[in-house]
Amino acid sequence: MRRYIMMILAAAFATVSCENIVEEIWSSDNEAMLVLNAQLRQDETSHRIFVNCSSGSRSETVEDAEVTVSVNGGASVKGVPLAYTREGFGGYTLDYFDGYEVKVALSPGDKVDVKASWRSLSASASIEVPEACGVISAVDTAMIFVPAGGEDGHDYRSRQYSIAVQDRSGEKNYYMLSFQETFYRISPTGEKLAQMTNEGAFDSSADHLLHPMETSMLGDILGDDNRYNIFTDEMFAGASYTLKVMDSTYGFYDENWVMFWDDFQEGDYYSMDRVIRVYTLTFDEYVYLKSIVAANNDLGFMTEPVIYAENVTGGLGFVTAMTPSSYTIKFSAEPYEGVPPYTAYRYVDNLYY
Amino acid sequence: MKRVLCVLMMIAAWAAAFAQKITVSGYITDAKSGESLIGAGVIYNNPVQGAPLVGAVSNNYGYYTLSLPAGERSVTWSFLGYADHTETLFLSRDTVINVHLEPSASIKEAVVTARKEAGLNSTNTGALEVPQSVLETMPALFGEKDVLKSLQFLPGVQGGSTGSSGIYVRGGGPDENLILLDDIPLYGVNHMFGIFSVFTPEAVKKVTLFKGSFPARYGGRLSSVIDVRTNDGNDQEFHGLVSVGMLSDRVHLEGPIVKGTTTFSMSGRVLHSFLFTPILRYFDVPANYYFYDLNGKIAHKFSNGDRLIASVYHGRDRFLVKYEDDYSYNYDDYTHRGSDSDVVRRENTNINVDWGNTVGALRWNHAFGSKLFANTTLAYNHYEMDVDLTYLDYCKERGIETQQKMDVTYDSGINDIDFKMDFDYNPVPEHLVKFGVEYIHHDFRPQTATFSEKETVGKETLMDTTMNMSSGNKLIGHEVSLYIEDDFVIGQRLSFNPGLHLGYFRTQGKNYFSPQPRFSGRLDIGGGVSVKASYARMSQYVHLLASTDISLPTDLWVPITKDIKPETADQFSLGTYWDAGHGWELSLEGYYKKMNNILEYKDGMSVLITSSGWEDKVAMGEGRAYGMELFIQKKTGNTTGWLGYTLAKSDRRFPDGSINRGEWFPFKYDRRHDISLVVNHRFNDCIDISGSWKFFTGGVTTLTTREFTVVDVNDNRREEDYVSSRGNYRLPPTHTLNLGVNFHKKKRHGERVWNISLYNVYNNMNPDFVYKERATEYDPGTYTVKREGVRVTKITVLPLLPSFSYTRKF
Repeated sequence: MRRYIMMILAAAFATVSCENIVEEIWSSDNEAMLVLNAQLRQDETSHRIFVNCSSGSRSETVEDAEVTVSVNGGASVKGVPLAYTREGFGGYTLDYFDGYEVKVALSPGDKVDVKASWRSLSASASIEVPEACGVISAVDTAMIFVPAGGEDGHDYRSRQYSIAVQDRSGEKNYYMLSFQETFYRISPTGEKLAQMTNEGAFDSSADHLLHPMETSMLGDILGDDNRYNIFTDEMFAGASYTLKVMDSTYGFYDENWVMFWDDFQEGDYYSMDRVIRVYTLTFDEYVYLKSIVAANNDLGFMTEPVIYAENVTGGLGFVTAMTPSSYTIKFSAEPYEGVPPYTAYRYVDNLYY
Repeated sequence: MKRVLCVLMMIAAWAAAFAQKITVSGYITDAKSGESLIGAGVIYNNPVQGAPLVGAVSNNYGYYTLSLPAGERSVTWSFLGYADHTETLFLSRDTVINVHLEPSASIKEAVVTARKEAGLNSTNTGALEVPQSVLETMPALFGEKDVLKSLQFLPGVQGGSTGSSGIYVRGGGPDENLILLDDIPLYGVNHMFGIFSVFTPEAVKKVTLFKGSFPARYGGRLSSVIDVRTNDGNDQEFHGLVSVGMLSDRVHLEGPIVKGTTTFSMSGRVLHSFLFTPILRYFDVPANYYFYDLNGKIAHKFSNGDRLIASVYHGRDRFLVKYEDDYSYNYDDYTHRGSDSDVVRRENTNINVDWGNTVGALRWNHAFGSKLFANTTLAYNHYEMDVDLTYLDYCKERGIETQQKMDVTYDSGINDIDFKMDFDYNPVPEHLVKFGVEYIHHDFRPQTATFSEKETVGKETLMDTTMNMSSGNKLIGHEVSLYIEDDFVIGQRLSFNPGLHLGYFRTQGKNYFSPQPRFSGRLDIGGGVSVKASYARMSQYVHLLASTDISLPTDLWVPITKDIKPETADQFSLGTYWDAGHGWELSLEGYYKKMNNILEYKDGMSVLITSSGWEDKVAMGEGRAYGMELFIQKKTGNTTGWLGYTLAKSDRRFPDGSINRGEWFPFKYDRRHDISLVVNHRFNDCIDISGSWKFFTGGVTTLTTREFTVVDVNDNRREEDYVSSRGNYRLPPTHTLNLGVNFHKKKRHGERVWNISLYNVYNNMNPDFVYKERATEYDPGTYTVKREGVRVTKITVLPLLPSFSYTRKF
């Protein structure tokens, strides 16, 4: 009997020597659809709208779509394609397409219709410009040294901000904190010769509202971030809250930044403005930005799928508007000392480098 | 005042009625092994035709109590698979009668089925027993009998991935099952990533599944109670078993320490790591994996009314990876090797993943007189998962030594201390009252991690950093529950089991009270046909957070907190049942279950630790499940088995912004149709065969359906996967036929059994796993795009698999 059993088993094993049998199933969602995206800012008159065509595993830029924006049912304003050629490294030229520029003024409460059509495809979205939060107040700054926190392990100089935000009562609100810095080159006679504006970056990790839990290096490695500095009024509904953040503009900027400082002459002065903004977001925008961060941190099969907020009819994508309250800090002019001041630049042993 | 007098008179009359009754009580045991028989029946053979049925059933410790009128009374004790025992008693005062039933070769249904907790004649809906005989004979993957996999063949119960022992009951998640090992709840119940459950088959005496109505004594989970009882041990003779299978070896020993008084039972199982390691090496994985289980029990009988039982379970899984790489060379001679080379480098990586349960319990059974039975339990339950990773990179180049060392540890664990007292009170035959109290001290450590890095050059230390990360830190929970239930019969046709379970949980300074009413009723409408209805409210205080379909050690058990509320479920069941005679039973049962505060990971979240706590990653939502279950069972004779069919639907919804844009989506294991067929046939004492066939339509998975573009607030554009909704793709159906044959041979001392099993007999290519990727297929002739989109690759990891095991019983 035993020998018989062993023979059966040997035969069975031989017939089942295959490893994985694979079958392929193709999902065939290849129908072309327009993807319409826009993040309109109430405080700007020039807005960028992006149109893509999604089909299967491709999403390609559409450069000849017809894009219109209408505010409160008024006349439609056409979008102008922003295509240009830039000289790149090594003499190569690169073609850029930066979406469609639409120039309209927006006010809180405006109803905005955005439409795009291309060939036989069309997509549209209707949104409302949100109200701004209460006035930002008590913006307070101080220069500090952050010990051993720089990228190279050295101390660096930073500026700390305390920004009080007044929540609008009676509704659930979603906010985003940002700042913009503008540098001016000033002649010895006080004439403004040039200016350059950058989107600044905040180090917000110490603020409880922006980062509710303790932060860590490994957390950052794993991408647990709040890169857009978004927050809700859950903890201070109808009241005010003071955010505590630092700027973190201690890195080199792009070539424009280098060229701007290269033009400085001995005896020039520089000054700077910092505009602190707290944008009111829609709920969908808040969720959408969180989804972008989550998708960036995708760890494959260990991660739940990301499903983006959508509000486009006839296509895909997300169109929204945000409204800021802002506060500008003006720093007085300082003499140029031969190297860019980089207000929060690395500073070790009294030497800039 | 008149009302008070009336009530007092009624109480007096009730008491007087009791006073005329004589109580017969005692233990019902197996005559050969002394093992207590759970659910054995005792019936009074009333000579009056049409008189109400008077009977009782032994409890989880084999204890019964039956009140009868004084005088000469005929009583029969019976149990499935045992010969009936009938005695004529002359009752004048309360009497203790311990009955030893003889095992019988002719398998027939017990005479008494009244008051059973599970099955056709119990008051409960959706309560089923899996007899040990079925566990022993069902064909099994790799020849490994498995308690939880056997349950997957019952209607309303689904498995997870093919081959896994995951349990999904009536649209509930895997953590919604209260899995009790001798009354102690277990947390991690799987080995080998879910392929095996932790229950050693030889140690199991009885398994009861509750999925519809839940007796009030059970609480803490939403969807089912799986009550696993283990053997106490033979009180007359030493017996044992040694079994060698393809994947594991098992041993079981039991016998008397003091004959008739003190017994022991112990069993163990260990995976053949010597078999597993070469398989991993074959795939270039320098790893090893093994698991083991140990069960031990000592039971001591002090007297007829007092028993002390000490039991322990310890199970462990360990996955080890050890990788070493040494090399050395000279600048001018790359073939030169040795410690005197210009460059000497060593890299060592060690990963150790270790997880498992340790459970210890001390139980004291005490009979207060003949009508009140008490069980007092003190238990300790420990579950932990540890990951330890070390990496060392040593380099010596021209005499300068550099060293980089990294250590990562990740721990998660639970410690429970459980004290409970359960009482069975049988004042009159018509009432069986159960009441009790339980306190559990939970100590949760959901996620703790340490990350350290050290870098040295020569004697100089460049970096020496240690980070401690903990998510939620330690969480203490106090859980108290009180319950009372009364299983009572009215006449011959009507029985009810109303009950109330009061739950209380305190954590992080917040108190949660949860009154949970339970009700079930049964009406016998004659001809063997009965109708049952039930309602149960359940609450759950602990949850399992899992990201994948397979059971991983990183699956996280977390308690409710001040922000995470208890999950609740309200379930209604209605069914009709028919005892067709000759061992045939048929039932048709429908249910509707509404769940609240259920947890799921939010879109884009993962189980891995981050600086955010797990609470930020989960959303609380609602779920609903409804369906119908048909169950046809043949319980007696040489051919036994069942056919089960389930028609079910289950979906979930979470707040907008958390999961699936706030819309309903199908539960991962929302399988519309499920058919199970189990047949066992015993040819003679030497050969028996068994077969099981399972068919179920596919569950759902989430697919990327196309690519699209997202734009952030800074107008940065990115191509991303577009997912239309969660659970947007339904997997193809799965069907598997398994066959097994057992060859028995009596030996001088005991018996040997050869088991041969064939898993997936007709080699069906089931979608055991699916893999998704964006892909483009080109026409080979023209190199033009033939088709593009998302390719789902179906992988069958369990084709036709033969297996065998050899068992020697003595």
